[in-house]
Amino acid sequence: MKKILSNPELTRLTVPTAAMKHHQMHLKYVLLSSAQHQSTKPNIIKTGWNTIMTKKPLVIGGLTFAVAALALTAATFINPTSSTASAQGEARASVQALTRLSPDDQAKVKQQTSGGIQAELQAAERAHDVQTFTYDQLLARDGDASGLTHRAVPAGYPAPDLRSLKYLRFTRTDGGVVTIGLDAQSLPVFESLNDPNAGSADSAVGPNGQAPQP
Amino acid sequence: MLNEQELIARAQADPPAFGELYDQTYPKISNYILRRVGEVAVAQDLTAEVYIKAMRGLPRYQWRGLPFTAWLYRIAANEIAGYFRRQHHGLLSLEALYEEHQFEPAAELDLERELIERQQQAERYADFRLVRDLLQRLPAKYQEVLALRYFEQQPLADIVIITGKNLNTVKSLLMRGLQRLRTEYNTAKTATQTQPLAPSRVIEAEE
Repeated sequence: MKKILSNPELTRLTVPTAAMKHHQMHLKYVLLSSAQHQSTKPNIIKTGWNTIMTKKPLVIGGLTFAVAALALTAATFINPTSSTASAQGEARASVQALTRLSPDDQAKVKQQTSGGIQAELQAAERAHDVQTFTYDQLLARDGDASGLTHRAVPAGYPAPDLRSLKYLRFTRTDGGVVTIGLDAQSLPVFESLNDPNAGSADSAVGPNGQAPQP
Repeated sequence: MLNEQELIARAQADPPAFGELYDQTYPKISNYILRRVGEVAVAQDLTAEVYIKAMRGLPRYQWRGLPFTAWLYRIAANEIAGYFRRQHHGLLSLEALYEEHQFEPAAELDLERELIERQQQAERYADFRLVRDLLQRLPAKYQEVLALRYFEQQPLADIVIITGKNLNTVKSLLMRGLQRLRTEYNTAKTATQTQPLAPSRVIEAEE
């Protein structure tokens, strides 16, 4: 009898442990995206359709169908707009938070991001495709190209906890894709720009808009 | 920091908050599945199935003071049993999920590299492979308790919670399962005198 099949040996059996970080991260993104989708999806369509099919006379069924159709239209046309509107609201709040700061503090924020951060936030406020993301969502979407994993911090500034930030992403009129990280006070503490004209991947923006050293 | 009960309550009210529970439990559950099925690709797909089902079932989940992982282990055990029944059909792959959500992963190469590396890593444990290959020849009821006991090092009390069986049944399944494991070993050994043991499923990575 093979010794390994005894109870004490099996209890001490060394088992492989695998850290599947990439799979974990990708699956999490899909799950959370799906959760976000489900939490905003109205159930009225399903219940309305069931009512038509099983319970009520034709007139009530017709009314329910009309309500369901309206809900469907609302879900199709209003939801994307409202998520953009919400992101635009975040951008607006950030501009306001920035303008409330003293000139010295404003200068510090600009040192941490780029000199034109206020203009970028105002552009985000007007952008039609601006969306909010979490750190995990951005990383799962873009990997290292997100600019989150190789950011240089200007000397004398504490590195922000990138995981705790809320990110705004939008496309500028020149085609550049800007990602701005906002802290709990809605202040910008991270900025990255993917400039298609430069022919390069995302690069995090350092002090005064200069690209950080790799 | 929120405790498990609070995390569950938060995730029930706000599904995107499920992420924290997911991060805490993923290593345990994915490794449990990997040790049972032996193939990283299958383990990843089954893990995805488990978490999709967990997230969908979360609104109906009732806190009874039992560890959340026990519930996930139970879903995982059902998925594994289903997998062995249907063998490779109808798995919910990450690719399918991406397609469903119209999402293009940028770091697909990383995923593939990770899959190959983890498969090679898993195949290095000779004793474990022997036990796992023998285990897969047993009926599912034995596989589950033996894997929980010897692969996951779960105490008997936790196996009772996970399987929903009473303590005596679990003990009996363990004892009879061990006997059958040894019988399988002898059968396989006799068979090798005429032909070699069926090789483990190994993915050979191209160097």
